[in-house]
Amino acid sequence: MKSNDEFYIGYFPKAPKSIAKWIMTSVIILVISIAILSLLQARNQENLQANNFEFGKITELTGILQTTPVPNLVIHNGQDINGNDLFQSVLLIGLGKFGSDSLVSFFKNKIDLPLNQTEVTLRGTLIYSDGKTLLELTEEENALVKSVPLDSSITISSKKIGRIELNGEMIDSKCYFGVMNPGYGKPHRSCAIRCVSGGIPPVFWSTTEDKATQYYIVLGKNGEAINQQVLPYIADPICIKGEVYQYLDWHIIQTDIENEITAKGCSGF
Amino acid sequence: MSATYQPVLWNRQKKIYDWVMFGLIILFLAIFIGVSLVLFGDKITGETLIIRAFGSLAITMLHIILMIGPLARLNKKFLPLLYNRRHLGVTMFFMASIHGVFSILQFHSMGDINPLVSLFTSNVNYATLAEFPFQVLGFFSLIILFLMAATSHDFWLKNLSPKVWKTLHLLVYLAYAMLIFHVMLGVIQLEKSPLIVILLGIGMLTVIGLHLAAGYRQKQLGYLKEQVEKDGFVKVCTPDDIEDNRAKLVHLNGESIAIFKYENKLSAINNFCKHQNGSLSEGKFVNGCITCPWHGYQYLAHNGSSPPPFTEKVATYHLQLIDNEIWVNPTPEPEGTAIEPVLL
Repeated sequence: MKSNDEFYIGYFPKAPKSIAKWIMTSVIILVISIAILSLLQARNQENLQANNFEFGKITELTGILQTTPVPNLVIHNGQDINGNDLFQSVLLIGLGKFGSDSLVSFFKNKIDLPLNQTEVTLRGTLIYSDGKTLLELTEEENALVKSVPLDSSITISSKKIGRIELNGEMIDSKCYFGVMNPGYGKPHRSCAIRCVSGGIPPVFWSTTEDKATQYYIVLGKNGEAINQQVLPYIADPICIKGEVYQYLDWHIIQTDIENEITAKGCSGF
Repeated sequence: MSATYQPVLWNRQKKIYDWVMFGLIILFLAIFIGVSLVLFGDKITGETLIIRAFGSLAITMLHIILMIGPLARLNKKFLPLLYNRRHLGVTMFFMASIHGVFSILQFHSMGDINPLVSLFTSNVNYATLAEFPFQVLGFFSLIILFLMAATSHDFWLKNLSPKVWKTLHLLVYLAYAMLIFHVMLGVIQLEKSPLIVILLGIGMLTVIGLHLAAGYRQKQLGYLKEQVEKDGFVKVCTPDDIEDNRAKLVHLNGESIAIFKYENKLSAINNFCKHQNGSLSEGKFVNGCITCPWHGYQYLAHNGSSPPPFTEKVATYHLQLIDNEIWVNPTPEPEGTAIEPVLL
């Protein structure tokens, strides 16, 4: 039997011609395959929300600092057609995966007057999408630029709307509205759990029949923070029941964590 | 093949291999990042883009790596892809690491607990498949890929022993299985399109199909249809059944024996190369030595020893030529034992 001379040895300077030709063909096929695979995988990504996190850009906002229902800054946002003042609530968030409760307490102690008699200016990084705005207090304790006494005190209160029962998902407000995209669903669950555990207000989002998305800040039945208790439900499809309140441009849902949040869909859905 | 250890024994073929590999990596990343930016503009953050691009790249590379072995067994023309596969493996580990490190930074850092503790304790639905914390699977896969990349050099092959080294590197299949679940239980649950599931399914079937085909062929190659035995020797074939400078593989009594015909002589040595268990029967007698098809390790045919200064040794076997039939004694002599070749 004659010898088959075709044999590849890697440390020889050149591969045998027929093997080199075969490998060249294989490389061409690989180039085409890699290009197609990359294109398909990139093209397949789900569309992203128009989220905004103005990373690296510090903005100053002036308004009334509020500690309830969650730490927020109430800012003047123009007037309606009847000339009435409009206000917007900007949720205040800490740096990283932390809420702003301790920072807001620190600011409160620094300001001599009651909060509703003081106008404060805060610096931070804006987070916004879908009509909701949050401010990350990036510079932490240095985020309070100034506080000016007001001529009169301002009262901002929530208005009770009624009970609801909705299917949806609970997420952390910081990632969902801008820092991550997407900031919902299973791939983001661990991150959302860390954020809520760190004090960032949990928000429940639900889509109506006409595809509009509604957002509800989640609190306990007495309006208390229940961040640690809701952790098992974060980023999962859940049914939530509770009392809904209107707080400026936000909805609040006060729910009984023991009885009114279930991992299964709501009855009737 | 080297008597001393160097980080990389560069040669022309390795340089070509690496240039092609890096070219393909750049092509993949350029298309993925370019298409993502066209689709999403500034809606996609840099971190998310890096996590997605490098994750997709790493799992694509892993599929290619796992296909090379069986392809080279099915068709020797693919052997150049096998020759420098470790560079592909180490590079894939680095690509996967970029995905892993950015994921831990993005999803677990700057929180109220240590990021690595967070990785294991944030999502604790270990008891359910659909809710299983998929990131943990990615983490353990990365640990395996790290161990493989860290021990990919011949220094570790020699010091761990080929058997331990090979066993360690077979863990790539465990890493692959975990990565499949990492994708299936992770990002796929966010996507509405079935495309990734289809691509992953095609990839898995190709990898499994190629391994089964290569295993079947390997099994078919060395088994005798009937075993005629006399005085401890087993009849194998005639010298004409073996090409010049090539070998006939035979499996007998748990031994894999490569019977080489060269320079009008016959010699038999153990089939498995001491380097990475390459099949010597698929090698060739080159420049006076049996040469392994995988990485060119060489052995003298009469004693199964690598020529000095190399020290690798394989077992040798006694042959007889009776009435133009080759007979082999499947009892191995100690590795490196010289046996007089049978003259044709």
